[in-house]
Amino acid sequence: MVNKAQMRIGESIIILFIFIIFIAVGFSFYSKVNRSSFQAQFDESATMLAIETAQKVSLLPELQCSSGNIEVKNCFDIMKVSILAGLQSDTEVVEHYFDVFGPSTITIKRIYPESEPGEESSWTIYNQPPQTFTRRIPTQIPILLYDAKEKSYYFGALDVRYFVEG
Amino acid sequence: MKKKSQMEIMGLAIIVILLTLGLLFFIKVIISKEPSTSKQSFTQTKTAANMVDVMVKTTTKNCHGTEIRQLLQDCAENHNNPNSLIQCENGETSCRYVNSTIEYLFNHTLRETTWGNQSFYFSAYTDENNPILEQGKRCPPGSQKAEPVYIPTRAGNLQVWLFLC
Repeated sequence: MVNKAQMRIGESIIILFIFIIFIAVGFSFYSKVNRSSFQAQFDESATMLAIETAQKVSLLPELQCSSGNIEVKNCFDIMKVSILAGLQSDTEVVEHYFDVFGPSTITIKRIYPESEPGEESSWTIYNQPPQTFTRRIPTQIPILLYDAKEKSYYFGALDVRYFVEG
Repeated sequence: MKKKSQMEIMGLAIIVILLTLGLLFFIKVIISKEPSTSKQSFTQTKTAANMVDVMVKTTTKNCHGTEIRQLLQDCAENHNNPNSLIQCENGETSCRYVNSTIEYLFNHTLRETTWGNQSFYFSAYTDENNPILEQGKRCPPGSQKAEPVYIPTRAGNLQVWLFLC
């Protein structure tokens, strides 16, 4: 009789033990899924911010070129770009653009024709990377570069690197 | 005895229900786990749209200050009669010059690792079966593409297409 009762108690303990293991596995799986979906949402919103920054730069009125007062699509004026690149040491300017572009680096590159020796081929118009970041999201967009001196259009690229702070 | 067996069946039923719920949850999580495509889609659309538009407006380096658009136009009109083609300053005809320039542009953009070494298909034609220029390999159907740029020529409308695969 005692043996039978002991068997019953042992059985109940084993069932309880298995049940607890089931619950623990389920909970750990659930928390893992929850964490990864939160990370995915965070990544998605960082990506959207990077896209927003790239769009803001590509539509920046300060740098657009125009022909006969008509704006040329996807075109940046080299003279304006060069002036803005030279203002990077001006804290007032940097602060103004920080509100617009956030933690990122924006570079405009000339791709074709290749620049002659002594000619500039790359302009960093904004450079505010954070001290620490977990991810860098690069975006490249083809653009036209207008050289008013030569009255020529060059093929260039807008390189936006958005930093996700840790 | 009857009551005991009923209890056991109930216990089994609860375990089966719990396992089914767990399995359903697991399947739901696996199915709904899709990778984010927002950036890829934005970049592809923007790149494809800008690339051709910017390319045709670019001024050539040593071909009498012409734009790529003008060289494409000349190539479409005169490719059957090479003597009438524009001769660039480096001795190349408009067709050859524009082909090598476009190849240079793709080598320094889409084919670069920083641009994702993207596969693409570029073509320019007045007759779809007989393109005057081609770069890259044809993409599978449904690939991202830009709106074509149309360049009027005496041989008909020249269509310039870029497909990002």
